[in-house]
Amino acid sequence: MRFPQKVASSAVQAELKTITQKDVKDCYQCMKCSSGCPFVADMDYKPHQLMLLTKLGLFDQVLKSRSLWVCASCLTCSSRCPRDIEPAVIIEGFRAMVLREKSDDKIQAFHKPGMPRQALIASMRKNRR
Amino acid sequence: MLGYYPGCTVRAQKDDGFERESMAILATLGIPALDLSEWECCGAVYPLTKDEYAPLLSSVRALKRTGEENRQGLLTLCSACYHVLKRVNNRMQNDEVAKKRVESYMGASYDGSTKVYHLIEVLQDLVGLDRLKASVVKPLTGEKIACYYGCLFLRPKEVMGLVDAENPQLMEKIVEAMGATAVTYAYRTDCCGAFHSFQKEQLSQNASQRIILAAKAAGATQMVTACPLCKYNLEHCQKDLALKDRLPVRYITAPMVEAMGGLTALEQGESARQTAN
Amino acid sequence: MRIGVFICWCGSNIKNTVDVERVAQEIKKLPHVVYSSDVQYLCSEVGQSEIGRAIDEHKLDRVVIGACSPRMHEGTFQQVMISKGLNPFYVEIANLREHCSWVHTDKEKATIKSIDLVRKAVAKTKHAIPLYSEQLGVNKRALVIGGGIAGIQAAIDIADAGYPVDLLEKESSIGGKMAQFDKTFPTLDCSACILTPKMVEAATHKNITLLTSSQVEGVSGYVGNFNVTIRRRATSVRSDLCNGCGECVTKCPKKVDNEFDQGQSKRKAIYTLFPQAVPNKPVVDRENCTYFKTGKCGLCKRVCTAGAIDFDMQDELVERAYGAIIVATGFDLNKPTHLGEYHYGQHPDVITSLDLERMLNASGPTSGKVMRPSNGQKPKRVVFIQCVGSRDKHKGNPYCSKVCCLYTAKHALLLGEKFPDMESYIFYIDVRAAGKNYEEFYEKARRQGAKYLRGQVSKVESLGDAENRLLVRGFDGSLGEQVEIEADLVVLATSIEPKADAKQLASMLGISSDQNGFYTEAHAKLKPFETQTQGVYLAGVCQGPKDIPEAVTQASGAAAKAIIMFNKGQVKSVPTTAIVNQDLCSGCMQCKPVCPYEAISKEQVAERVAGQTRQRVVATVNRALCQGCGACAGLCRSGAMDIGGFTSRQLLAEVDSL
Repeated sequence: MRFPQKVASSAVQAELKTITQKDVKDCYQCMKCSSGCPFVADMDYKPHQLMLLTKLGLFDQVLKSRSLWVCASCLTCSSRCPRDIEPAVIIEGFRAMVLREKSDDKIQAFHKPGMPRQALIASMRKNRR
Repeated sequence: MLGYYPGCTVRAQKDDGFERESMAILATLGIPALDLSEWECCGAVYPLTKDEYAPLLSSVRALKRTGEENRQGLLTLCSACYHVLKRVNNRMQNDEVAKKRVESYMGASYDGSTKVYHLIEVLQDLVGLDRLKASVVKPLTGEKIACYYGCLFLRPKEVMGLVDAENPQLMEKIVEAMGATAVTYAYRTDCCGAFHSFQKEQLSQNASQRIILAAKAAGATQMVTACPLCKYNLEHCQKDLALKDRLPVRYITAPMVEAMGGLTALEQGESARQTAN
Repeated sequence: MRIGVFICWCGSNIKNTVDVERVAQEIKKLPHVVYSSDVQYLCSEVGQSEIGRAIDEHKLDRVVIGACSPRMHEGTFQQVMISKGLNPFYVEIANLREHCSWVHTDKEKATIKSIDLVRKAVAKTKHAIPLYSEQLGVNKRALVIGGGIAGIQAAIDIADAGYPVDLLEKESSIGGKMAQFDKTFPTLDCSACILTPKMVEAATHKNITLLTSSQVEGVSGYVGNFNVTIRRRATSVRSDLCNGCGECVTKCPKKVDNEFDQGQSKRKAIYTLFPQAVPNKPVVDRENCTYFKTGKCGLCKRVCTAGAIDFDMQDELVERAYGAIIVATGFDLNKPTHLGEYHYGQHPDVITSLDLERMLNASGPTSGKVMRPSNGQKPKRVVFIQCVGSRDKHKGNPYCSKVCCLYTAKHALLLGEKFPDMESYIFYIDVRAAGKNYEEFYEKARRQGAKYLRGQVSKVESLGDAENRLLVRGFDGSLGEQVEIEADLVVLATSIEPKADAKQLASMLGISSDQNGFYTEAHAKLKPFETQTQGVYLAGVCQGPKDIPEAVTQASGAAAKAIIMFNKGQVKSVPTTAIVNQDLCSGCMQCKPVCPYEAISKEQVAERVAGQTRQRVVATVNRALCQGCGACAGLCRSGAMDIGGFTSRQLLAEVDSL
């Protein structure tokens, strides 16, 4: 990819900081988050790559990535990160930025017999505002 | 008397028997629990964003009601509810800003004094594993049980803290008290796929399949869990296998009830106790 | 009074932000200032000569400098004063760099501030009093605390220079961690083979006294004149009678976990630390010895033909005086039970690098065979994990332990040589191979077949399979995907940590430790083995993680410092200490308890009052112990206590001038 001339504005970076109260500056790309993530095979950008993109200010790539919606917030990455960055929280921050801006309804409305309703509720909380 | 928080799914899936079995076990062991007069769904996920407070409200209401109705604690059976309630409780105890916002919205205050219990926590702390062992009439010898906690039960360990987040042993101790052998296997602290079973089923299938295969490879004869969604995912990922090849997935209470003499016996015993009183 | 003022440009450091000419001109207007100029580099020879010339030409008796921090060049300018026959404390330095030009951007405001700072210095110097250093005598005997390679090297150097050294070691033998290693990188020298000659040299050197099974109980005094209380622990073996035959060890019935082998083997309750121990005399572990616990046994005493076993031996407290102390207490390797994701302590086949090192050592628990602790079988696949508990801000130590990248490469290389069909995988974040020949060594390990995977491991867990193997779940950044390895043995490169009692020793010696517990050096770049306390020097890992060549270098450097002091035979005291005006002192002694260095004591003075001679109590300061902290001066109600170079009059004058 060719790096754009301008990275994410300081306003957007501040917004991420307000939502997450976390800082990716300490990330040294150890990849421990991606090591333990159970869903990494289905992600386009893996957790450590999302952290690097965030650090570089390339928010567009992150906001458009599929990974945000694959993450299940299982907190494995956050509990293992040696820099206390909590990738799960950063990813939730990006999800919030997407959902708050566009009311992009990623929910399909159908009922699956036998499926615990908590799955529907959780999906709505994660994919819709 | 503990306050009981069923959680939307456990109550809706009554026929699974999780609630009924849990109540029977607790009653037999002398820990009564009663529904809160009113409760709402906790939301199924704890919001990781630090700037919204609306998702916390239903949990705070339940926590508050526990104290108001003079309960010794709030009992829940589902790992997801346990996670949400405990984390909200912790936030209200430690985050001044969140506390103020929530209280001003609710128009009432919550002092953070409720203790949130999971079923197996009650069995360890309020009953004790020795007493549990003593109540076994039909030990489950020969059963090799793989225990699955669900990721939300374990993490974040600073808040959840009930068991060692990387090598939990509590359910194992319980099934061993029941006379079975606890089996260790790979991926046992991994996520089952959670809510992806709704819209991205392949993701939860893959995640759960890995867990099931590892448990089978380690020689398990059954798997037990404490969350309706985990149970669904773990069972569902095996749906394409022949019945004989599937690893049975049950709630932790199922083998317990078997070992303690059967559901009918437990319930009869309880009603006998009730009439005696 | 004739004051000369010199404002330094410091190249562009000050000049770019401060209008130095204007400052010089403004200050010229002050009373008593007879000369004022600005100079490009005051610290240079040109600058110094200019000061000297101005002193001569204008008959200056006070000098005020506006330049960088006194930490840089106070010494330089004081030397200029001395060379011109002026007291060195008649020069005052205003910090126009760190306190002004480096922290402000507004030129106008910075210039005004600089003028204020120099004016303040001028006001202070008007009340300066001359101060003189004392020469203190030096006890020409050194104490080296710690008998590892650093301590041994320091002791040998000082002893070779002709001075007596006491080498103190807590364990029953010297040697330290190096005695536990098998081979050392990058030369793959056998560790014991290069260490033992030095150990023997230390033991037989006529100037070195070995004090093993001993530790420091208390320290008092000051540079050149330390008094140390040493506890010589009761070993229950009379070393003067014991001939080292070893019968007692053979016959002892009690077995205990062997700490030297990291708990992987057993030793007896009476034991020598390792086969090449120096001194090679056994000691009794009273905590585990049957005789000491129950009163029964005593077999060792019966079989000893030399009659050396003495169960009634007591700890001995010895007081000795030293001129210099070198601290070389070393480190411990962390056992990462707090990092549950690595499964250490929960599966026997997850071990630390030091555990593996002992296994590789021919005199170790497995006689040099590498085997799985769970079943004694040879492992087919070994996975090494780097940075376990190091570089970890969340749950571990934030620093890098420095040597693990190389010793893991060494382990992979040794395993590859000894067991060619064993596979080695190494998960790393960065490989740090900065020393001489280290990069070549790392390459050698890779060529031998060690498979390096860039990505940190997230979890190590039991597979629960028939062979009780482990599943290592990591990531490879180059392949860009998760990699899982079914391993027979997992080796963790854990964190180097200071010893558990490091802080305690630091407070006894009056030195400080940083937030990680390592001892703090006086200056990170230029004084890496001196401390803030004169006369106490550092050597080895106790000051920070380092490899063997660095430890040896530092040890020789610390020894050199001690030798310099001993050669001079005297040490100059620091004159900016507390001074008591005994005429004003009321003898209330409120100053005594606030002194952190216990430098104040009572003194009787005689004076004549109303025709009679009277005795009066006043305070007196031991100027060698005093560090000039100022607590006493701030407290003194009579105004009798002052700090040389920072008297109350001077400080008040500074305040009044602003």
